[in-house]
Amino acid sequence: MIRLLWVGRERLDPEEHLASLEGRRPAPEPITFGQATPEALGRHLAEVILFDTRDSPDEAVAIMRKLRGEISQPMLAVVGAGSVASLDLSYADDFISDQATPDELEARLSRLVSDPAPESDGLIRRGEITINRERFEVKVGGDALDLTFKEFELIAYLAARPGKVCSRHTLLSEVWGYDFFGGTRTVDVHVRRLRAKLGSQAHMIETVRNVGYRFSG
Amino acid sequence: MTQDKEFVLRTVEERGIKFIRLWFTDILGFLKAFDITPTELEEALEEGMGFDGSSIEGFARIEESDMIALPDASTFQVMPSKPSRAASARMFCDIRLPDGQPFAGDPRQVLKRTLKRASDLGYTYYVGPELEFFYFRDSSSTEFLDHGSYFDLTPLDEAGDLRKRTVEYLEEMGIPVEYVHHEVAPSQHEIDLRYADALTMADNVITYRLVVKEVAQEQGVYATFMPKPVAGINGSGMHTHMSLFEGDRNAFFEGADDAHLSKVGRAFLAGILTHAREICAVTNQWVNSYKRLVPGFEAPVYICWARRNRSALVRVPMYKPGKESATRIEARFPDPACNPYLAFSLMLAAGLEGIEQNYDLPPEADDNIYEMSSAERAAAGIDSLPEDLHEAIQICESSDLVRKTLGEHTFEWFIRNKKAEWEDHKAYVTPYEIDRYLPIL
Repeated sequence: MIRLLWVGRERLDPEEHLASLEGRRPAPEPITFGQATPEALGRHLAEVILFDTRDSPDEAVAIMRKLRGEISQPMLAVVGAGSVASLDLSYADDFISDQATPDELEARLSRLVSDPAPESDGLIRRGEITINRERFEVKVGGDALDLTFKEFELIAYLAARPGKVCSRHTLLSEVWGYDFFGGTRTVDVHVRRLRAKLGSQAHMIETVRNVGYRFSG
Repeated sequence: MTQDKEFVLRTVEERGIKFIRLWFTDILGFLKAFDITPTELEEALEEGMGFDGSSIEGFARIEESDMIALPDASTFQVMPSKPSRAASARMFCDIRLPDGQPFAGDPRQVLKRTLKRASDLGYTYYVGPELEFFYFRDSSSTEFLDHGSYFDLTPLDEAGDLRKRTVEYLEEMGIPVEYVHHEVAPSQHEIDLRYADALTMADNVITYRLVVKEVAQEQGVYATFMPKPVAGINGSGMHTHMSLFEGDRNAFFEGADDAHLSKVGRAFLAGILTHAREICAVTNQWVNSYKRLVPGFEAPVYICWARRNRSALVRVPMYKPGKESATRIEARFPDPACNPYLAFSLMLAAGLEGIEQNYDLPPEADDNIYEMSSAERAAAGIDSLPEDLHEAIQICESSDLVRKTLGEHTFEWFIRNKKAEWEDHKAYVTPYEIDRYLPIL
């Protein structure tokens, strides 16, 4: 099950707010709008952040706008029946009605965390960088880079999500796996190795202070 | 087949790699290698490749010479290619016995075991070494490439080009470089590596030494990591920056402490100081190593720590506000001709011993200790590193910490080998004796 964080005006049991979350395990962890800072979310293990827009829509939208591009997790806005038209949802990655069934909610969540689809020929192209997942190959201009497996996995993961901030925790769990013992400095070590090999394209991997890394979008 | 092995097979095929070099080191840290072809690769990744270990230093007695080199797929690296040569790649190997058990004389295994001990206590060990070395015209003399004031007469910035090529080569191999500079002595250079976990870094040190020597050879000169190649000028050290992390937190940092060191950091440092004399035979493993550890050349001699003094055995670099993660200690006694797997293992084991036994850290040394007489130092309880390899072996031989960390096989073999080296040296008539004694006796 996907781990969730519930951001609302008050720190209430989210199961009271949304019928489709009743009995869900792991239960979403509730925090308030005021607690939803990029630093706090960057450290959090939740994979999707739910925003309750029903009690104070303007405040919810303002918080999502502030977090946009600063956190690694997708934001899902929970909207009340009939209020979709009046809300500015452009900062959320997706929204869902509070009347949705549990199945519908889970489907929406898994779509948010699943890997984005590669381009039709299976290649990822960003700037001068071309990544061929099938052949484990990364080229800058026309020249293939000599990467190790982890370096390859790391750049493939980042490049598949251009413009999106990936936290060190996310990268560690996605590229190394949860059982890896080494801490998030491992991610920094590998990013530096990758940048050394990327040469003129090193800037394509941007550092987002206190959070993680972003592939130039 | 795991994905990293698949990555290796696929890359070899796609990139037209003609041979794959399997790397490991003997107990003294010399790089050993043998080549396999792409057709042997899949089997090598799954089962390892057999080889005869009897001719490798410290590996086996004649009756048990069959060894298996099992490649670590995560270290697979295509070598920067020269147009004239076939494309090749390398992997570091773990050494196994024919029954699949890890071989006790494999230095990489010793480090892995020590790192496991640290991880059982919740720590990751990070190291950042600074390796110094000299360029000479060839391996039979010590003729400098650059001569300080005679600089104008040397080909324009020859060593500068060498360093630049070396850094490019290292970065292509995925070894990021932090600083590059000319050192204090003529023809002496330093390339500092960015920190990494200790196993990766020990692999990197092995790669680094090869790259520095290969690039020099391509240019028709010789690079050496010999600790003290020329008397009267600075020798080459391998200052090693170290820290322990607990998850994402630097376990050495404590804002309220004078030196910004936590209880863990202080105990670790105390562990290094307490056991320095025991582990010195490994961190400084040659007769020549002890020619570097003398007063007057920025090398440490006395067992002490300090924040500013660069002759201290261990230095605690000044804390920069907001840089908690950079809090670290710098051991200044190891030299670049050590076996990095064993040297990192023993420094870690000494530090962990300090943490587990709650060692107290003595006060920071002030500059006076260099002006004290040896009697005054003894009265102040300040010890010195071993005078020579002979003393270092004797102290090492009676060390439980070294025996336990290296394991019986490696420990016994190492002590035996070093005693033989000392016996050899003892019987040798040196140029010093000919110079001094022949004309007068």
